[in-house]
Amino acid sequence: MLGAIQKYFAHLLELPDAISQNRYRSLRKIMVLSMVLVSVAPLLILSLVSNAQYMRTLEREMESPVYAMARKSQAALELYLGERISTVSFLAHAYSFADLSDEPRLNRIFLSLKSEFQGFVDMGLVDTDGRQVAYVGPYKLKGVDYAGEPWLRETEMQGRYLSTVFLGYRGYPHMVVAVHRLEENGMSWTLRVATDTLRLQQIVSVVGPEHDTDVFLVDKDGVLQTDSSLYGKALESMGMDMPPQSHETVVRRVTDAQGRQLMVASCTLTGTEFVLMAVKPVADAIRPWKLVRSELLLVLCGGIALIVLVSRILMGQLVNRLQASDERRVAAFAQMEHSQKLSSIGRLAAGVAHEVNNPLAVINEKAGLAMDLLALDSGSGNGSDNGSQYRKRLHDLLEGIASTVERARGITHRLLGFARRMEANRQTLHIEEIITETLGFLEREAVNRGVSLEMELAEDLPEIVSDRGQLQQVFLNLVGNALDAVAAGGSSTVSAGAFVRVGCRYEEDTGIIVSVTDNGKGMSPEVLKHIFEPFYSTKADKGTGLGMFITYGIVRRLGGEIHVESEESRGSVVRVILPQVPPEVPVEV
Amino acid sequence: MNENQCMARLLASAVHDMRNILAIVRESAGLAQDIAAFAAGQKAAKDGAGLSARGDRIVASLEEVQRAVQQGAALSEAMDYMAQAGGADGRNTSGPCDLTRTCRSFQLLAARQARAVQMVLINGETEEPVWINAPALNVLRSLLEVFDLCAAVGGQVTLRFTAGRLHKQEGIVVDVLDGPNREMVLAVLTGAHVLSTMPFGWKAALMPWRDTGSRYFLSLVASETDNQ
Amino acid sequence: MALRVLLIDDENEFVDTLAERLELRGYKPSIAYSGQAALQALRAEKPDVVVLDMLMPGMSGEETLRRLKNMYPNLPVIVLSGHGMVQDDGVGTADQAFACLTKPLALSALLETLAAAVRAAAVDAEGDTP
Repeated sequence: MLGAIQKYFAHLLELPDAISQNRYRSLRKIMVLSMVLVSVAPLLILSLVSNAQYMRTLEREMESPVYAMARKSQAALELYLGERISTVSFLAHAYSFADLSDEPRLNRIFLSLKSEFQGFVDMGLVDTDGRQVAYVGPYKLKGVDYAGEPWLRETEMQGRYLSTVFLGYRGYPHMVVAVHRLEENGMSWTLRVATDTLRLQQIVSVVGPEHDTDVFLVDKDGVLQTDSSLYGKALESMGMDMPPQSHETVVRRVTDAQGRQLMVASCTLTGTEFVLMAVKPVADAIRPWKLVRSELLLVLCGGIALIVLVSRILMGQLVNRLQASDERRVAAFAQMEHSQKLSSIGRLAAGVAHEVNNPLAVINEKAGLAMDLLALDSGSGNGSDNGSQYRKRLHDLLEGIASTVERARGITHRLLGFARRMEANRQTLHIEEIITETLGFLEREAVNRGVSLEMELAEDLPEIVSDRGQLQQVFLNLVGNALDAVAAGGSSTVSAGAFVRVGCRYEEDTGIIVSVTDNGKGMSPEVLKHIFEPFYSTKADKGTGLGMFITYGIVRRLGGEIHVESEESRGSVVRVILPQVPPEVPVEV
Repeated sequence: MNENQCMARLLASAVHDMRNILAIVRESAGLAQDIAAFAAGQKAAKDGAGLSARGDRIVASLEEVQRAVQQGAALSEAMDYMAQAGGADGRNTSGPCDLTRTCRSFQLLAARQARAVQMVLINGETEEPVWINAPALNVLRSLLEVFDLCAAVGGQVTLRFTAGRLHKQEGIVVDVLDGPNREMVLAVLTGAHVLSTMPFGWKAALMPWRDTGSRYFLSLVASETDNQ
Repeated sequence: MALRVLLIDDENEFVDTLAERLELRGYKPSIAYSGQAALQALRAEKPDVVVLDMLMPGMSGEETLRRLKNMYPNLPVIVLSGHGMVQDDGVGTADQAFACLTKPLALSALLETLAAAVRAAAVDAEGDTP
């Protein structure tokens, strides 16, 4: 998988043969995408992780105060309510039924109670049957029958009882503390004291507002016992589902009916039917963080937008530069290749021009001599011996001119053929012809430099479909290089036996193999490594260093392969393998 | 037309001419041979005057041969010049070139093509050499394009190329001399032409020369932009 | 006294014919078909002037010229080449040759140059002798 990705990238980045817009468009897209991805991904991950972490911490932070508040309130309320009950319980145990049924006495007791403890509203004595036989207080409640009332039953069952808040006869919220007493003489009666909820309310709601927490009491059905700033006045419904109850303070995150997120701590108060609720809207706590978060989000988005913008601009520029430079390189190489071709024609033209000069010189001299002889002949008269001798000489000279002319014609014929065929493309060819032709062009040069040109062509060479002009160019380059290698030090250093041999054979599975062998100065492994690279040349100030590079390209495009072996001071062998039929699809060079 | 084709055309043209020259040589030499053989056969005649007349004929043939050879040599030299311009010997081809020599080479190389459209190319003499800072091959290309322009409208005219200067700019003065198709050729050459076959980095233009109706100036300058 | 000319050229037909023409005009030509042969001939006899073709196989024209000049510094050498001018091979051929002519050869030009070369050599020789 990684390998495939690597290959894909390498393919996109290498020097192409042809420039296509799509290639650079996709390159641009990929690079921008990669850069953005690499920059943005960690950023996003970091942001998300930080956010989650912070939220969690915040929640934990939010829990504690509410929790603490609930516990403290719980403790304070249990203490207060416990005292209330104890007070009444004390009275119930300190006095007997007889004592309390005496109304003046009851009155005195009640006044003493009221003077020490705020909040008690009235007091009543209820007998076994449930009738309030004695009453002291602002209401006309003497003789009321409480038989069957739930509170009475509760009281009788549990001994002491604290009611929930209710309006009752009195018309305002109050609670009832009742204590049941069973005397030794078998008398059972209940002392009943009502207390208002002001003090309760005070205790409950004193600390909450400072911490944005709404502390209030509810009963087991969710009816408010004290005022709640969030949910309304006492005796209204809380409007929130009752949390599972435990004496242990439990903090929960809740969404209420109005959709608010709340931190709710709840606990029961022992000895009562109350549930303490401490409610803190999460929103308030979160609000500052939310503010900061939205600012950070803005920065994040801005940052990402900036990254994308900058990436696009930078990558756009980069890829454009790459494209421009690739185009220039391809154009330069195309031009170079053309020049290479050009210098091939030029080289041949030069060769032919020089070659033609020699026969022309010969013709000139012979004609001149012939004229000299004629001048002499006419001067000396027609003495038969001299005359025939001169005439014979004349004849031979003119024969010589004729044969020289033939020689010159052959030379010009070759050049014409070459020029004509430069344009043709794929044809069926006999490769031996091309090799022979090429060697013919370089023969004079070889002879001049004292190198022997040899040919070893197999008998059964099949025909090959290829480009004549390009094959000629390849062979010219290779044989020319071989010649240069052998005659490297100048003709004076050419040893006897210096040769360049061109061989050609056919192998069924491989194709046509053309080898150019020389026993020249050879190449070191270092040179061999770079031999097909452009602008790499071992000829000091001659040549462009592009010969082998272009040759390599041509051979590959013709569907062949080229290999070089060499040993310093021993010589080199260049092998070109060509398929009989060229490939249909352009070959990757 | 790229450089390759330009060179190939000029070379082909030159080589054909070379073959003609060789044909002339062969024929003249052959004639001389025939006469000599004839004379040998008639040796016994001892006709002094006749022999010397034949001798004169032979000499004339051979002089013909030598003239042909000189032409061949000039042609061969022009081919060699062009080969050098094309970088045949690996030397730098972008250096300055001798305009006079280039014009002369062109005249020789394109002679056959000119004859094909009944045009005559003449070289104008200059007192001193004129060097232009442009590759010789580009000069040849521009000359070939001007030639093509004239040939395209029927040729049949005499053109003279002379190296020269216009406003301190080196170039070639093109004169349209006489010929049946003169008017047509003048029509096609008039109006400044920017030659279209110049390679990257070069601009060539043919402009009318001041007030003279049949004279034009071919200039060649390096340019930053590709004008194709 | 007939002038001795050494002709050095690998193109046999050309140099043979040229020798014959020079002979007809009263020169005493000798021929060498290669640089090696030329040096051998030079050791045997010193000519009055040398005509040397630059484009030769085996020992190159430049090499031959150098060796020749080593042997006989004052011997004038007329160089033949196929191109318009002497190629500057960095050997300083131009300094060492008396003159350079192109092929095909105009005989009249060669004759003039031969005469001039011999005259110049004579002047040099006079200058040397104390």
